[in-house]
Amino acid sequence: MAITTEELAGGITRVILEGRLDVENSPAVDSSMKVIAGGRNLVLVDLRNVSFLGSMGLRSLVAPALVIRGRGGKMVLLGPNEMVAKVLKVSGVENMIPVHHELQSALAALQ
Amino acid sequence: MSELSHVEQIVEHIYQKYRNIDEGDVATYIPELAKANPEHFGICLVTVDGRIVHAGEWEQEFTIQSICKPFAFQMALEQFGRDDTLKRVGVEPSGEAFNSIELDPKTMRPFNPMINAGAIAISSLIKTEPPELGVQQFVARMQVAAGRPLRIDQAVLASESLTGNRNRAIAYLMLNCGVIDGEVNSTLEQYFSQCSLLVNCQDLAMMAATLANMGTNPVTHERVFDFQYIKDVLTVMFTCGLYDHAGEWAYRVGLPAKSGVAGGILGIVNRQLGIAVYSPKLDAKGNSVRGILACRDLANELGLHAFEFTNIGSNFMQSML
Repeated sequence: MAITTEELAGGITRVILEGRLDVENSPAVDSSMKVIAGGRNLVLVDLRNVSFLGSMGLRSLVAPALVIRGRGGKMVLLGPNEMVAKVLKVSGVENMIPVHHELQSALAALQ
Repeated sequence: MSELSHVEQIVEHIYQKYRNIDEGDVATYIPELAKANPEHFGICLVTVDGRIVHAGEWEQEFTIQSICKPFAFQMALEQFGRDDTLKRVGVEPSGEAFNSIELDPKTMRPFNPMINAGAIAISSLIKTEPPELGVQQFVARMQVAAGRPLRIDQAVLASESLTGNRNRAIAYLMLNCGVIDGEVNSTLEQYFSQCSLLVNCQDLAMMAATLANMGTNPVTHERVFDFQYIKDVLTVMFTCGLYDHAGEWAYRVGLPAKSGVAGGILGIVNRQLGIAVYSPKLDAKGNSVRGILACRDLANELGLHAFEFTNIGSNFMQSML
């Protein structure tokens, strides 16, 4: 699982996740997201190259989202594939963390 | 990719991840069990709509051992009802090992039907005199739950009977305390026979899925268990199913389950899924090492824990809001 971050204009941090967000990989994502959630208020998590999202992986997304929201910030998800989108929908997480399918709308939501 | 193929991928991945884990020891206290191949490792999941996922040596047969206990408890509840059954056995976790010789000091009943004492009390209820019919009735019910003919491993049965002095002691203690009747030999024959039933992973997963599916086998659609008692059985499995590991299991996996010393573990996701894992190497508490690891990963990946944040408590309550 690759995790990269980049700083975009307007104070937005983009976190790019690539690979399977499963039992094996979610601890690493957890640690990275904890650091990001501790210091960033506008976070875009790019899921376009995430092929699988399991239950533990879901926690790795919800935990930082709650921290960021609790501080008055915003976190959004970008571009889940069909499987990932279904997990976000069935689990009700799409109601907690906004899901966008286009980069522009995701960025606009963070403005 | 369909949902099931994701599950297939997860199950295969877990099998590959743990197949070389070599910790634990095969049970030896029943000499026949020591002959199991420690390398064997099988996983099977059956959904309540009848879909089946396998990995590894899922066809390998082994004796059901203590995994017979929830099913015998279900049969006793159906035959005698809650009140009369609970006069013979409690529903409190004992925190003791599976073979503890201890009764609840207040009630003089065994603590619960998942430890040997409680299961022997249940066998005393469902046995017949002579015992052959009671054994046949148990095997017949298990066959319908598994969806295929099953048989008792006579070598394991003989080995259990010959060396089961501790269970004999438990039975006589309960006779002394008035928990069971005087037909101790028939009771023990019923109990040892139940434990010696040969199953494979798919049989166990199908039985688990039958409990999950309100008592109806999800493939044959035969009605096997009275659904009004399944909640009772799942509750006791949740709190007591893994003996003195039950708290840790509820904490980490969060499912009703039952383990057996031959290396099987059966788990249930109510109204959704039956799970079975087989691997004969056991930890110090008598539970399959690979079985526990596999169930932990399944629960974490599939969000199976009863208190996982994605699991809404009561659908019924939802309809009232």
